[in-house]
Amino acid sequence: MTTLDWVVLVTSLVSIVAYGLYRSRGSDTVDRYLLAGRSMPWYAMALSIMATQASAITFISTTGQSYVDGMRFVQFYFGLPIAMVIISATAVPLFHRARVYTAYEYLEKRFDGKTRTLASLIFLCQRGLSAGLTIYAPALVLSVILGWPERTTTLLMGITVISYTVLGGIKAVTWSDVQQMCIIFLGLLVSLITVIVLLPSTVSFGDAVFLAGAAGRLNAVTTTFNWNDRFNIWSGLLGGTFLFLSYFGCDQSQVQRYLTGKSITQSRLGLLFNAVAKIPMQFFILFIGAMVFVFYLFVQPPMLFQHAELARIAGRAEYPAVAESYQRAFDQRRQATLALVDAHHHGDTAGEQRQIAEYRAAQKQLDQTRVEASRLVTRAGGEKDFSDTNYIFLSFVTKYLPAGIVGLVIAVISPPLCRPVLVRSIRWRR
Amino acid sequence: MPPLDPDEPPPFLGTWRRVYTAILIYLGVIIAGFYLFTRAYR
Repeated sequence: MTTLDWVVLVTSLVSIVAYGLYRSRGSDTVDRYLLAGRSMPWYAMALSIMATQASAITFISTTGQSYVDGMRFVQFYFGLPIAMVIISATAVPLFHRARVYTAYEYLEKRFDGKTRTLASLIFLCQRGLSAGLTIYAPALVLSVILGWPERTTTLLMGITVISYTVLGGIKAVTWSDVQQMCIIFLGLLVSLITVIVLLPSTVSFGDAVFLAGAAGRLNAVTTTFNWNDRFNIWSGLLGGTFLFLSYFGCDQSQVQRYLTGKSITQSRLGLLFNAVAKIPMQFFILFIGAMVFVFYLFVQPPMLFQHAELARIAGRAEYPAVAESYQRAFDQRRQATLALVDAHHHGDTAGEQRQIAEYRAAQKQLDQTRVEASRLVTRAGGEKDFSDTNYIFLSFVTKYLPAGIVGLVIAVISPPLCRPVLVRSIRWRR
Repeated sequence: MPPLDPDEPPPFLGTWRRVYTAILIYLGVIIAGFYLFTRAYR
């Protein structure tokens, strides 16, 4: 990262912390500390709910997913609006009127202490497991940027997250989430504009969308029902609804957000904003991944996006043959892509079909060499599997985004970094 | 004595039932839009 990137990164994170600290003044009672004195407006809750769900994984992994597999992951979110409507109509008034601090406290009021304990234990186990992934994603970012081992950055993230979770108040967290989401929207917009600007001058935005479609990266909806296919409209509507019902209706990390609402109306509006905005936002993030794929049709991507692993296998005897095969496949794919754009410009449908067939043959060869390179990694390291999907967007950001913007994007995908300072002394008064 | 946390009407569309219906219609429109988008660029 350049000096400008560091300046942007530090300024973004400091401004988030300062704003959170400013807004969290007076969180000196349990009610204010855990529920912000039930004073939050709908828009702050809405963005906080969104930021809580959208961890670094959303930006790192989702863009990589789109690069590898296209946009069909968006279908996973089709159940979210349905779940939000059900929760707004049922759980929100229930929790509000029960005057509870947690979703599990309601279970004790409704049933007994044993039910509350069981539900709390299940939540803690589930959240404990998922927290591992949530912490790992920003740790991965830090590892790539700073060149530190993943274990060190994971430990650093873990200590940081525990600090602000234990010591920070909900008001500080919510307002810092608001800031974070504003920077996220800005960072995403800048990323998309940058990737489009970086395309060759002969390739317009329309051409890029056409190429992404021809490469099978704009497959937003799959209507075929298949038990083995994780992402289709049916799994999204059915599985997604139940998944989001449990997440937004029973998971304390989300319930706590809408319990801070001034009124039932404000809490409902916070949730319903997500019902409306979440799917377009995911579509937008996946679209960025598809555009990164198009960018790499013209500029040779690394054979593996995890540079450390690529360096590790570079000395192996099989490596030169795999690298040569990769180079050949990329050249063929680039040639077919340029010819496809040309045929598209001239409205030559038969030529388009011919070039798409050539493109697909080259892409298959390219995928094959990436699989061979991955096998080299697993043989060298003794791991069972290897996937560099999570490194695709990071690799692109650090290599191609202009100075200053890299810092902004890193600020976007490292949310927990900005919160350790949101530590204040709490005098426990009810 | 007024109830704690009364069920106020939404700031738009008059009733919550209408708001929920509008969101479900919006979901249908979004899915249809994505389906057409997928077909157009397949």
